[in-house]
Amino acid sequence: MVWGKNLIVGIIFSLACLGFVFAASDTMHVNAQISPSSVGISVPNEVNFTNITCGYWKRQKIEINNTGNVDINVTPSLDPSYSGLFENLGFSKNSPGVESTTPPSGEKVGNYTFGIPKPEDYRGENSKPIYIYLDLTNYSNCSSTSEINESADVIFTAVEA
Amino acid sequence: MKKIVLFLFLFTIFLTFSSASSLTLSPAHLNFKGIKNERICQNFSINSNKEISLVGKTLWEKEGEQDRILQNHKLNSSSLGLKTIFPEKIVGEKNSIQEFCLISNSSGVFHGVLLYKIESEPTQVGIWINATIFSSKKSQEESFSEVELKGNSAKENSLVNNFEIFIFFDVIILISILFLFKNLFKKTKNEFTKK
Repeated sequence: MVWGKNLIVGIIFSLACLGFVFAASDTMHVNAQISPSSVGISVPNEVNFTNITCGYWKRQKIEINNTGNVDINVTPSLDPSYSGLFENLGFSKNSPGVESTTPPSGEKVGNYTFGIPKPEDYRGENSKPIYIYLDLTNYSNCSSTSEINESADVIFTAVEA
Repeated sequence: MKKIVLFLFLFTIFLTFSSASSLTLSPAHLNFKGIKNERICQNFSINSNKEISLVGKTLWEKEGEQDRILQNHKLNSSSLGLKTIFPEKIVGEKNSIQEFCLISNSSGVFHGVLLYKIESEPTQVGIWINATIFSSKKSQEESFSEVELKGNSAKENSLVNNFEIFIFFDVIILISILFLFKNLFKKTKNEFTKK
């Protein structure tokens, strides 16, 4: 009786083991459609610095969006031929401090590159706040009689990190 | 009623003008492999949230340098003996597929960036370009066969690993079965002895 019981257990066990071996050789057809990588950004068109006087600095918070599907590095720059007031433009990831006569903590335009990770959701966007500031704490070309009204183009270039 | 319609119309126009444009280029990088004086081309796509006009240009690093630092890309194509063919101006497009072609009159490894800027807006996007140019077809084939050889050995290794795993599990199953039969034999022997 015991002999028969053990034989049955042995056969079942062997079959179970064989089942695993056979299962390992089964195949499942898997399909995938992979989209190519993409790099993209969205930048606000305009930033205005109003009510600022020489000897002080002012900041503005802007949002830059990573609209692609890879991590990106963004470099703000002025036209190489430009020279003037906006050479005192700077950038900072965190708040560059309290607006006062003390110069802000950050990097001048042209020396600064910041990263934005790819969006969590495929086809989504990842927004990153950046502080842009105009530092006139040491600006010497201020006129005491007339108001300065100047503008310049800052280009934000995004490439794959 | 007329006033509301007029207000909505003006508000929509205002929104269109004040919203930021987005620009996306795909793929994020282009890899070229070819021989001297051969024209090699690849497609890339441009997508935006509205109809835009774009201005394109390429910038390159010194031959042999391959970092992804934008500020280090200052050279133009001709100074490296490269000829690039791509649309330098794209007008009024929202989504389009474009072609970028490269011809090099010297062999080497070149790293560049293809930049597209939205006209009158601050948005510029770049695609990295990695180009390996061989002096002849023969040197290119030699380089490919080296890669293939390495690829084969990797494939073989994976086959060997799979086979080893299969043998390992097979041995375990066999030992288990033998162990069971041994117990079975022992118990049967005991039963006969008792009798």
